[in-house]
Formats: sequence, C-alpha cells, structure tokens
Amino acid sequence: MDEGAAMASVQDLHPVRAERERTTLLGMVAFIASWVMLFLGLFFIFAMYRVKQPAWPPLGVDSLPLTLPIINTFVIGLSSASLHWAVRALGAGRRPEAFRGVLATVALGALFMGLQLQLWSDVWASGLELSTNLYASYFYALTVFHAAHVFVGWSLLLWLVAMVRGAPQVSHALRAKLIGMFWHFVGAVWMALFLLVFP
Amino acid sequence: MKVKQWILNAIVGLGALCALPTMGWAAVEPEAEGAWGLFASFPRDVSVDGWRIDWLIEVTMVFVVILFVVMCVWMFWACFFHNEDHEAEYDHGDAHHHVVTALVLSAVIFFIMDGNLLVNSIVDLDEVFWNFELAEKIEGAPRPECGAENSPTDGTCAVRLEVNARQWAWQARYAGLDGEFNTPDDVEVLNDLVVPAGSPVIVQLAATDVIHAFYLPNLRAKMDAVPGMINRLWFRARDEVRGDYEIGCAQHCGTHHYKMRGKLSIVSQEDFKAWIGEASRTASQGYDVNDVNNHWGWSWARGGKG
Amino acid sequence: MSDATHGAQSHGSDEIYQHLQPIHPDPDSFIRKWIFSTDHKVIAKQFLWAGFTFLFFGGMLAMMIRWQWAYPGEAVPSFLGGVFLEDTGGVIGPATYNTIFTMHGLIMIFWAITPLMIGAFGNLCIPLMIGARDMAFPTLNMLSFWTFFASGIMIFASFMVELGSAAAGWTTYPPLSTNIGTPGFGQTLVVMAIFTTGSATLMGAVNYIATVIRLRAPGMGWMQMPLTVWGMWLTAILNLLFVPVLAAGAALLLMDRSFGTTFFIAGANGNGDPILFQHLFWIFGHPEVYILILPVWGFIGDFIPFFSRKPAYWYKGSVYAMILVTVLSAVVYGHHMFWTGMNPLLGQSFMLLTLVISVPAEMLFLNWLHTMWKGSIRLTVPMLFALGTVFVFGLGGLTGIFLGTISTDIYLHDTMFVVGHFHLTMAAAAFLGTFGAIYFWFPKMFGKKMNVSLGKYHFWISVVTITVVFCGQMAAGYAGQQRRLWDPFQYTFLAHLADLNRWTTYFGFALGLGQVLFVVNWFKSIFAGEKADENPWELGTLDWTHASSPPVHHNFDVIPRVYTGPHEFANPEVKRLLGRDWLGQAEQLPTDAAAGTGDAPMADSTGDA
Repeated sequence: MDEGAAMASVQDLHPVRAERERTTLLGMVAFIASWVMLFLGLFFIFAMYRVKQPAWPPLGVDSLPLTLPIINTFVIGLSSASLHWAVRALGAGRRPEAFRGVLATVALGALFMGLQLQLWSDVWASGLELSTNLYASYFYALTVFHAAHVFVGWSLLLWLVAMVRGAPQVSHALRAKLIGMFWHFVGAVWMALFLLVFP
Repeated sequence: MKVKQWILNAIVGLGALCALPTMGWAAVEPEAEGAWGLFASFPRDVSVDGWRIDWLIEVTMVFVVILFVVMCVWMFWACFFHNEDHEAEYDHGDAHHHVVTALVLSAVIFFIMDGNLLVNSIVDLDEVFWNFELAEKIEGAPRPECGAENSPTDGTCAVRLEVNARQWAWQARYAGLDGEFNTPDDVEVLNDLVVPAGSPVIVQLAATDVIHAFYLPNLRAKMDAVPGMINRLWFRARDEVRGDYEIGCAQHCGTHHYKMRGKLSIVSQEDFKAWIGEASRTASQGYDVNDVNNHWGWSWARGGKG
Repeated sequence: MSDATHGAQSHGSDEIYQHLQPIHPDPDSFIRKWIFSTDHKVIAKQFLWAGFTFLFFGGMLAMMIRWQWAYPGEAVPSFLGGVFLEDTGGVIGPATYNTIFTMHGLIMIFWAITPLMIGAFGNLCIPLMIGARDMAFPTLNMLSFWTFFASGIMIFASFMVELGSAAAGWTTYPPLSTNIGTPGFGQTLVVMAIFTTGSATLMGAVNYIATVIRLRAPGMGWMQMPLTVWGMWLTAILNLLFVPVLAAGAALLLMDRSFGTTFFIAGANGNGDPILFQHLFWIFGHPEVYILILPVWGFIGDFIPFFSRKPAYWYKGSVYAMILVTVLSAVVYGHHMFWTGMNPLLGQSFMLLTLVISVPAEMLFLNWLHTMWKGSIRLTVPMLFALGTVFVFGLGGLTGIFLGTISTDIYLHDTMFVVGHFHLTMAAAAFLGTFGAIYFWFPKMFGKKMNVSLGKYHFWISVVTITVVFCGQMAAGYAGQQRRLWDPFQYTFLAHLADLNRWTTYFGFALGLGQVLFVVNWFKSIFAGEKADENPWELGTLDWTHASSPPVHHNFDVIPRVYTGPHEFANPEVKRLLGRDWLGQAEQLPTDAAAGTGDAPMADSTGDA
C-alpha cells in the first residue's frame, strides 16, 4: 500500500506529469492532422468540381443566403475566443472564471447549431433540396459533415462543464486543453468552408 | 549442408529465370496469336506506330532482366561464399566513398533505364500518340478540307468516329457522307466497326452508364470511356493487314464486362469508301426523328493535345 | 524527452523514464487479460488471429478466381463449390465472380495484410524494440482492435444480404459502385466497413506515431532505432494522413448510394464527375501500396544484417530512402489515371515523379546487397523469407517502371500485367515479409521455437509458387489479357492463353496447399514446441536482450538505457572483450563501463554522433 501511495505521488510530480501531458497533446495533434486531411479531401473534390463549372451557382439557381453564415462565422469565432479564455483560466486554477467561459462557449455552440438548422431549412424551403442539383448537394454534404463535428465538440463541452463544476482534479486542465484544440479545429474548418462554399 | 543449400538456391534461380521469359522478349512479330504456346508474346501489331510501344517495352525488359540477374547472382554468391564459415567484415558502409558509390550507382541506373523510358515516352507521345494535328493531316499533301469540321468521310482524310460505351456494348457513329455528326446520314454501328487501312482514325469516346475502356490490343490503343467526359485517341492500321480484329473492354464495368467484345474490320480504302457511302445512304433513308435512342451523338469536340 | 535529453544526460535522470511508464499490475480477470486487453502484446496476437482468419478467407477467394481462369464456367470442386456456391451447383456465375475478385482484393488489403503486418507486428515490435512498457495510448489501442473487429463482422455480413457483397472491384470506382452498377446493400455495407476499418487504422496510427516519438528508451536516438520501427512509423504517418482522404471519398459515395445525390454519377443518370472519386481514391491508394511495403522494408532491413552478422550497410541511407519514398508516395498517384483523360502535362509530371521513386528503391536494394556481401550469412528461416522478399520485390519493383511510363502503359494498363506487378510487390513481398516476421518473432511471442525444417519447406514451396503465379499473370498481361474477365477466352486473341492460365492456376493451388505446412508448424509449435531462449537469434535489439520470451506484462522491469545502434555485429573489439560477435543496444563494453567514459561509447562506430 505504501508503495502504491509513493508511486501515485511520483506520478503527480510536475516533470512526470508534464511529460505525459506532452505525449497526450502529441496524440491529439496527430488526430487533428488526420481530420484536417479528411476535410482537405472534401474541399479538394469540391474545388475541382466547382472550377470546372461554367457558372457558379448554375444558371437559374439562386445563390445561397449569406447573412446567416456570416453571423455564424462570428459566433463560432467568438466561441473559440471564450473557450480559449476558459482553458487558460482553468490552467491557472481560476475555476469560477473558467466555468463562465465554458458556459459562454456552450451557449455560442448551441447558437451556431441553431442558426445552422435555420439555414438548412431556409435553403430547403427555397427549393434547393439535397439532390436538386450538385450546387445544393455539395452545400449540404459539407455543412452537415462539419455540423456533425460541431455536435461532437459541443457534447465534449458539456462534459467539460460537468468537470469544471465538480471537484478539482489534476487532469482537468489537460482535458480542457484537448477539448479546446478540437473546438478550435472545428472553428477553423468552418472558416475555410465559409470562404469556399458561400461566396 | 552447403551443397544442399546451393542446390536449393539454384532451383529458385532457375525457377525465376524460367518465369521471366514467359514474359517473352519476343522481338519478332508473331504471325498469329499463339505462336509461342505457353510463352506469351504480344498480340500481332497491325498499327503503324505500335512498334514504338513494343520496342520500348522490349528494350526496357532487357535492362530489367540484366538488373534482376545481377541482383540474384549477387545474392546467391553472397549466400554461398559469405556463409557462416566466412568471417563477417566490420563495416557500417557509411564512409564517404560508400555513400558516393551507392548514390552514383543509383543515379546511373536511373538515368540509363528510367531516362530512356522517360525520353522515348515523351517523344512518342508528342510525335504520335497525343499528336492529333498529325492525325488530321497525315497524307502527305492533304486536301484543304481535311481537318475541317466536316471533312469527307471517304478515307482520304482522317476517319472520325464517335464511340459511346454502355453496359455492355460499343455504339459507334460515323459522320456519314456530309462529314458532320448528329445528322440523318450518320452511320451507326454496334460492336462492329470498319476502318480503312492506312488512314488515321480519330476516336472520341464517351459512356452512358459506367466507366469502360476502349481497348484495341492489335493496334496498341487504349482509353477510358468516362460518363460525362469526351476522351479521345487515334490510331492507324498498316496497309497490308486487312482483316478482323477485336475490340475489348479493359475497365471493369459490371456483370458482363467479359462479354463486351467488339469487332474491328480493317478494309482497303476503296472498300471503306464503298461501305460508308452505302451505309450512309441507307441511314438517311431509314432515319427516324422519333427514335431518340439513336440520337446520342455530339458535335465533334475540338481541343488541343491529349 | 526531447532529443537533447536523449543525447547526453547522466544515468540518474533515467529514473524519470521508469516513472513515466509506471508498472501496472497484471490484469487478473480473463476478460481484461485476453479479450478487452490493453496490453500491446495481447492486441498484437488478436490482430494476428484475426488476420489469419481473413487471410484464409481471402486466399480461398483467390483459389476460386484461379479456378475460374483455368476452367471458366465449370463447377468448383471441394467444399468451396459445395458449400459456398450450393445454389449453382458449384458454378461461379459472372456476378458472383465479380463479388469474388472484389472481395478478394479488399479483404486481403484491409483485413489480412493490414492487421497481420501493421496491426500485429506494429503492436508487438514498436514497444519492445524501442524499450517502452506499452503503447502511448493503450486504451485507444484496444479500441482500434475492436473497431477493426466490428468492420470484419460487417464484411462477413455483406455476404449474407440480398444481391451479395460488393462487386465493383476493390477500387470501387463510381458510377459502377453506385446504385447504377451495384444496387445491393452489400456494396453499401462494404463501403461502410472500409470506413470503419479506416478508423481502426487511424487509431493505431496515432498510437504508433506518438509511441515512437515519445517513448523511446533513454539514449535511443532516431538513428538508433531498428529499421522495423522506422518502417512502422512511416507507415503510420501515411495511414494517418491518407486514410482520411479515402474516408472523404467514401462518405460522398455513400451519399450517392443512399441519399440520391450525384457527386460521382454522370452520363445518363447525373451530372457529377466520376473522375473526382478516382483522384481521392488514388491520393489514398498510392500511399496505401507503400503503407503495405514500408514495414516489410523495415523487416528485411533488419533481418539481413541480423543474419549476415554484419552491420547494416549505410543505415542512414536506408532511413533516408524510406523517408524519401514516404514523401514521394503522396505525389505520384496520377500514374493510376493516365488513361482517364488526364491533362497531358499533368500526366507527364506524374510519370517523371513516378520514375524518380526508383532512386530511393535502388538505394535500398544496394544497401541490402552490400550488407550481405562479406557477411557471415546464416540461412535461418526468417533470413530465407527476407531474401525471398528481396527476390519477389525486385521482380515486382522492376516491372513497375513499364506501368509508370505513359506510352508503355497504353498497352499494359488494365491488363493482367498490372495484376502480376502489384501482386509481386503488395502481395508476394508483403506475404513473404510478414511470414519472415512471424518466424522471427514467434519465439518472443509464444516462448516456443518453430520447427525449422517445416519452415524451410514452407519457404521454398511458397517462394517458387508465388513467383510463378504472379509471373504467369504478368505473362498473360504481356500478351494482352485484360483484368477481371470472367472468361478471358471469349476473346479469340486470348484463346491461346488458356494453357498459360491453367498452369498458373496449378501453381496457385500449390501455393495454397503449401500453406498447410505453415498451419501444421504453427499449431505444433504453439502446443508442443521446444522452449525458446530469451535471445535465440543472438541479437542486440532490446526485444531480444531485455525482454523474456514471452515478455512479462510490463515488458521491462527496468527500462534500459541505449548506447548503440541496432545492428552492431562483427566488431573486433566486442569479440575480444566479450567473446561474441554482437553487442546489445543497451550494452557497454566492460572497459568503457569501468572507466565511465561516457554514455555513447559506440557513437563513432555507428556513425551516429
């Protein structure tokens, strides 16, 4: 028993923990790299298709609405900022501040998804359904694929809320950082997607 | 022990060397298919320019066989003479001269073998296989109308052919006597193409359903037929090779892929002229405006190389 | 654990390495120990068994294809025809034939070679060879296997559904792979299974990458890693970056199949672009063939010096060559698409890049041959398999240049020549290399020896038959025979190839039957094999010098400090002082240890300052 206790304390020593955290962060970077390739693949196909078309949007098709996507770009950018703030606060041990930050991010994430639903239903109602033409198909495919990742990130944020509210643990700062990385990545993908799909 | 190992090594070496000629450096052109029995060779080449491909494959095959034999001899020699009775040399092989030797050897092999392939391939493509301007003006002093939108389809200019692949047949369309596609006198054939010997034949390819590949083994020609795209290739049959040859599908296209077989008849210029004239007249007489299934042609697509 | 830490720190700081990877107690429940285990060695064995299952299954499909080419339309004898083709009395119909060759390719690539070579030996070798107690993320590792397992179930299930399994070829080109060509649910299920097994591969790749970067034993620099680890690491990087590209294509393909979109459908049924899928497929697909060969290059790069008892010739050159191939593999994919109507300039650029790959390949071959030269070669079973791999890979690699060149590819594209070529590299080389690895690490995995005579017979039968089979295919392609023909002899210009195809088939059956020797050897050795020593091959890498056979749960009681490269053989100084021809990676010569002259006494001799 004594031995186990001694080992646990060694595990919590700063240099050991820091090294282990670096390993975990590296794993997350690798994961995100592969996700970047996934979206690059989709964007590549979309770009190849789009440049070959004589007109974009195709003749007789209305352009996608821009207002909601622009608002959403600000929403997701803001959510990244608030999460960044929260993660830093948590790392410095300022838990109440972190709690507020995460909560704000959760709210912004929910707003993003809500606006996204609104956008889809607007576009759908305007006559552009999933298989109406490829202009619409690519729009739905890319945004839905992205939204699925937003939803996963958002669920992780809920988990983070529970963590920040609960009893403090050494591992929390690292988890917050990892979730933060994923959320920033999802935000960055939105920026690329916005520039590629909507103009 | 050693002898046994050596025998086994020899068996493998021989096995491999026997396997290699099955790829046949058949330099001579076989008169008919099957001349070599178990040992495979190219199908008879009836095209004017196919020798370029055959030559490049054969020459490269010689390089490849030399390299492979050197590798095998090196390996077997080492296994036999530098065996457990031989004391190993303590050498990491990373001295300056080692590195230089390895790099120079790799570079020499690359520049000779790959360089030969690269240069010849680019020359062949530029001069012939992708040179559609040549295809349109191949007969010494072409008549002014050769190469124009509706050049005559009598074999004196390049023959133009639109091929539409579908599961599991080759639809082909000749412009007919007016030299223009999508008109009532277009000659349509199914799986049964006729081309004149000596004239260049330019094929534009499309597909209705899935991807196919138009493959003329005896003319060393091949190109994918892709839905939504118009690809093209050209070939020219030699004068003295009249007869029937096969068209194959080279791209997996579904259940009856293996059956997607057509016939390519190479005939004399006169016979071709007679055939196209007759067929074109019959076509205009039997033209049916309402038969939409037969209106799959497109106006001849213009474009640069390739 | 930055590289600086690796280089020059005193032994006192090694303690941190022991704490970074604490020794966890052995799991005591059966389920945690053997089923949902996080132990990399157990997961390796799980991948091994799963891989064998699919290798057998994929092999049987291969036998059926060969039967069809020898006796088109005749009933398949044996249980294959009797059980699997009961409805037709054993006859393979054209539709069934398409399913068979499609699933043969997919199963062999994703469910046989990948788990055997990367799943099993990546898992087994990486921690043991770099001195780690487990993977960086053991739970993820477990998840990787079970995700793979789920995808395997989907594969078996796809054969049960109406209209059967996938039939659009392993390349899954649309529009054939959409509802236009393959309307059944089987094709959808298989695409989903590829998606799933891709995720499993990804989890493994993250693990391998992080483990190699972060968990190398103290003192082990990048240039002191065994080449096997290099091969696995580079493969993991390619998997990490390019499997997701396939997933992107598969996602859109699934939408075309299930939701009525037309991303890849053109012609009469839509206005998408089928070629776009091919781009994504080959951006993944060409790295994939290097994914399947880099680990093998690692194996033979290690086995040849191990059994030539001589340091690896220009070790760094081999590493650089492997890195160069890894990089180049990402930019040559266009040579699969020369005849899709590609822009000529683009095609010629791809041709140049493709031919450039032969330079690093030549460097590797020269290094292997030079390593053997003036060695003291022991033709052990793993060594035979390594040499057999060099032999078939030489054939396969050299014949590749015909296909990378545009003008010769006019004739050879989509013929059996392509099939023979890529089987020699991806199948024969991967097969022989992986079997070499099995014979090599069997004592470590199970603590038992394998029967040497059976192993040698297995090798000779395999190498001869596999060479003839795939050279026979190349010969058929040389004569113009297209791929994937249910009955090639419908074509009159191919009719004379019936004998050639039949003889190739006989050798194919011999290859299949020869594997019985391995199966017998495998089970005999596991249950009644002689006990193996800790280091039966007398080698210096950590898996043999510091781990018992089989290794304990945590691999190393004390994580060793590494001083030298993996192939330190025939050093006269070592012979004089220790009386043997090898030096352990974590071993110091007595005088150096006594004098305490430093951490890396062999640094100069390994050329690794």
